[in-house]
Amino acid sequence: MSDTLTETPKPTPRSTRGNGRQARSQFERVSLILAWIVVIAIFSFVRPDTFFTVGNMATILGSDAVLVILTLGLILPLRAGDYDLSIAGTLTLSAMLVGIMNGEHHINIWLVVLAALAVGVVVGLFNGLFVLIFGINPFIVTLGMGTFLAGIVLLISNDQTFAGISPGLVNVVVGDRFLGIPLEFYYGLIACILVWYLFDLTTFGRKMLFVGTARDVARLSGIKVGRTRLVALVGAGVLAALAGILYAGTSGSADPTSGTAQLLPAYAAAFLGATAIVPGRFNAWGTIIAVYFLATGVNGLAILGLGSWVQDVFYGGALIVAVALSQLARRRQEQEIT
Amino acid sequence: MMSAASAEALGQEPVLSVRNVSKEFGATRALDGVSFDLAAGEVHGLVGENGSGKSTLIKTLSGLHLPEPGSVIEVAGEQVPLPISAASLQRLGLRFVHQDLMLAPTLTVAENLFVNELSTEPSWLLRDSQLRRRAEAMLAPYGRELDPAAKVGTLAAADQAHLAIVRAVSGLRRHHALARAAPGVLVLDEVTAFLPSAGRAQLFELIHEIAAQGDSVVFVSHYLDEVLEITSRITVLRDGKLVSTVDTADVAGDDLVEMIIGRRIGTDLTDTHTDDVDGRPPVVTVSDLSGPVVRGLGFSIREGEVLGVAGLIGSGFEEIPALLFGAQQATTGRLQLGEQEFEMTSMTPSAATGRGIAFVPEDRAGAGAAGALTVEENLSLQVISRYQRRGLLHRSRLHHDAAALLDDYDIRPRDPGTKMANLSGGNQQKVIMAKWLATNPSLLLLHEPTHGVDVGSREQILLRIRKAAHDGMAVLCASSDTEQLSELCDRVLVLARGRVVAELPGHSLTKEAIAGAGYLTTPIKQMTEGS
Repeated sequence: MSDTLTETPKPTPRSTRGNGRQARSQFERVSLILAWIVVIAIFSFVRPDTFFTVGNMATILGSDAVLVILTLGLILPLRAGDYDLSIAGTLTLSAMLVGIMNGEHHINIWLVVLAALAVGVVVGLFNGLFVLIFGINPFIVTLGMGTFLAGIVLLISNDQTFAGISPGLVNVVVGDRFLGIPLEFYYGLIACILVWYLFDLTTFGRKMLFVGTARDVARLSGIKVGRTRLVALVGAGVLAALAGILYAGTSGSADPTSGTAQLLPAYAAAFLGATAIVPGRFNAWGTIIAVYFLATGVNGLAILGLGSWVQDVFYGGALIVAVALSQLARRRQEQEIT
Repeated sequence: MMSAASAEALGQEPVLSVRNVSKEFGATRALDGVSFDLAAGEVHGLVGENGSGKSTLIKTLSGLHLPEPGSVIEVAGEQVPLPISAASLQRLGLRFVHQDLMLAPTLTVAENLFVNELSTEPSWLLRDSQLRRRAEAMLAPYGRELDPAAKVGTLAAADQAHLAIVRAVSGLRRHHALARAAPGVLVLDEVTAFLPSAGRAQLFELIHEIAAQGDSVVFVSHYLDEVLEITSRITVLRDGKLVSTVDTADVAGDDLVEMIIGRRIGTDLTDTHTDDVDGRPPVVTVSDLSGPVVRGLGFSIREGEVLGVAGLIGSGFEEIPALLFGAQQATTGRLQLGEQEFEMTSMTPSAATGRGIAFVPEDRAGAGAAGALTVEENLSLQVISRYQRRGLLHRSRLHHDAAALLDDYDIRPRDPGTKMANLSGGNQQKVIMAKWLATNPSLLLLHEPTHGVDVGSREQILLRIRKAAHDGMAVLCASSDTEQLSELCDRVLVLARGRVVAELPGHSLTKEAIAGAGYLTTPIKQMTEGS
């Protein structure tokens, strides 16, 4: 009855306070890039001879490609509304398989790479099927899976580090360079372009977006929600395995524990990336910028002589700040409605 | 009008006295100066249409709403501070069985039974075995077998209702054991909807017993035959106002319906009118459709026909669109759509959309459109594959077509990049209509298509639906807005207790006829075929 009368069409937000809002949202898109530039400028000013060198820049861009690919894998399920806490476990297992099968048993490196990728698919399938068949929260399933995989790595490696990985792999990861930057960096860039293409230019990307932001709407619009979530989790497994292969190729060896430390940086970068380029959404370009922003900060602080504690403090702090920022942005958008 | 019976005639001081209670929600006056008395030992009916203020009154009595200043509630002559606190409800002996029962589905029967005591009598050593024995003892006198260790969520709806009633009644008895035998009040809000007829008889016996002990019962129900059977007085609300309080012995069913809807329903329910769609072939045939409430429903929709389904809340009409779409699982049923036939038990939304069925759900924000995404993304979702060319989405064409739809449907603002949540309800609903009509479905399912929509958008949406039907689409519209149904539909099925009780064709479609038919409990079905 009268509730149909009380509601009047609302004026367009843009016509009333258009310019200010538009300028602010433009600033929000690029703010992370600006912050990155500021961080580079500060460290360059403080340590011009060690930080601001071609060699150091190439190191940052190259060595953090592993984190770029891992985080790009992570944002696939995040975009579809699911957490994946097993990615670091998958990365470690994949790196260890390369170390054992190639470094120890000298199996052809490219066969080993294929095997590692296949393991990524299997992990993703397990995660997805457990989530879908038993209706368990993916947070719990992947938390268990990550720990399970870390244990498997300790078992198969007997808690040892394996070196002697084929130079064939090491060369195409860090040995060879293009424009002075290790090839690794370009793999991250290609992965970023592929994820951007998937998210923004395919129908599947649109469906993922609906599954992640409004699952009931997706279901009632005829989208196969379960299949979409499964594909996203398998994608995360594959990209995490790829990151593990690069991880092994970067150092030419595989150790059983250091890979698991990549989980938190990946989450920090994913959430920070969701505040940039397309604010409010997990997106590919925001992710790559966030990884390099964080890596630059850690690298600079290390050059200033701060101890290894700074990495944890920096990444952990960044995760909380990033989530708080996106929460603030959401609240502000809600205020604009009224 | 009937003469209002005074409380004094029935006894001494009223147990519960409601004086001039009002409640506003924004500009809406849900309750407007309502007063009534509850005498000791009486069963008092409370009736009215959906939106008449019954629920608001019950929620005010149970302390969920704070009424406007000037409202007074007295219990045994003592004025109660408002909003009524949970503690004073306990002290005064007011017990409620709410429409949604307020049970914790993941906890056991025993835990649910003792939730009040657990909150008021802390114990440092709870023993399951003891809890279980006490629960068995408490349940025993009420006939129905219930396992105290069973999780409430796994019980049938009738058992859940039974449990909630037992909990309230034993709470009332406990009150007697503690307090100075002051009479208590049991409020039953639409509890019979899920009870089978045996359970209903049992409940009525229990109600008589409670009243015989001097406690009072407030009985809220849409089913007037029940109200006439069990109550001694009836209070009728309409549009938030008190119509009257009458002695049950003095009223007939027809009078009560007239008081509830404000007009006498015509006796022309049998008037069949031949409309221009009558001759057309049926494109949709539903047979033996059953769900949580509806039982063995069968009907057909002709090409270009708008079929309405209506009834009181809980009658089952509201689940029909979701069942047909597979959004809610049907227990039996078949759907014939053109040449295709579907088993309804295995229907899913993705199968339905694939076969040309569209569904506009009632819950616009939660199920109709993604508020966090843009208007363009929401508009294009159903037809997104049309925009894929050589593996790439044609984004400029998407944008262009979305902008054209905004013009066509008069959706404001005219910016496809606006977030869906920033649109008004009417504009959101127009986006959802446009999104589905773009697929050119052969069956359009609507649930409350103009809820919370401004007047202008409402007209535009109804016109769109008529136009879609005119172009040959079969439309099914489930709505509690009887005025809208009378404007929109070619034919309306009215449900009660999960079954069709009336079929109103063509010109007998008036707001009053649809509302009145909802109070029927025995089917008087007219056939409109073969004229």
